[in-house]
Amino acid sequence: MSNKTLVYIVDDEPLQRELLKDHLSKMPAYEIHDFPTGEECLAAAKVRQPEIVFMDYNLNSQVKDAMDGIDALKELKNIYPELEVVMISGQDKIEVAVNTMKYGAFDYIVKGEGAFLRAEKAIFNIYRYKKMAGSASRYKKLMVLFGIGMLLMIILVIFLQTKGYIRSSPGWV
Amino acid sequence: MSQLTDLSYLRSLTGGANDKMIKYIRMFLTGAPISMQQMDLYLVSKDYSGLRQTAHALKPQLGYFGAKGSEELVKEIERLSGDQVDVDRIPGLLESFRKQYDIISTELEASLKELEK
Repeated sequence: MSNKTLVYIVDDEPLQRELLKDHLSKMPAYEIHDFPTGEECLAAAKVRQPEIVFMDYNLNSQVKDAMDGIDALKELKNIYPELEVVMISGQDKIEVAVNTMKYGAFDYIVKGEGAFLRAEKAIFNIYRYKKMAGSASRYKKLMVLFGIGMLLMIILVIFLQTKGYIRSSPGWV
Repeated sequence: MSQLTDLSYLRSLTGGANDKMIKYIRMFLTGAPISMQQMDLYLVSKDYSGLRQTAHALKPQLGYFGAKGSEELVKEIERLSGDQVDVDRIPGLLESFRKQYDIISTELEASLKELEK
């Protein structure tokens, strides 16, 4: 099994898919697989979980009754809540972007000349976010342990005071 | 007459790798006529949702080959079919796009010959 990050690309347009695949393949840390439909991506994801998915918003330009990007996003997040999905679309409407975020997309990229650099940046942001989330979780655990320690210390002091082993005021005052 | 296409973006994206540029141009020249055929069929059957979808998918591809004017034309077809307003303008826009595509494909074929040298 390779140590590479598994990235799936889903787009019904072969040229669009190939361009993104070639662009991300320049980075040796990624193992990239591409699919023309959400259905094929879901089938592959059930066999091998990807870490990041780039999902086209409209997936039915070739196959009319194909699942759309939002439905595929919902299903993927349902199976793997921790999976990060970056939505891609030719639409630069804010409501489309908000809609994808509502269902758990990490980012939204508008197709066009800047899209490939944005895709690279999205991967970088995902790693940064995961690292920050990991640090926050460690910090939270540390704070809980510290709180428990303080509580035990107070209980011990009260216990020792009631038993008369220690006095309220230190002897030198 | 000035060219409708401009491969400078594709060149910078591929780092000037001819094999990749050839591959992308071939993919476009294979896919775009199919999309145009689909748009014609959708227009005949008044399936504006299908027409919008196909125009939407084709639009960014034109941009990658620097065909900005055609990209705008297809964007307008997408808008009109999506909103289903002024649909009687769509056949004229499709015709204009078809004429532009003929020039685009000729230019891209010439670029292919250059790249394959």
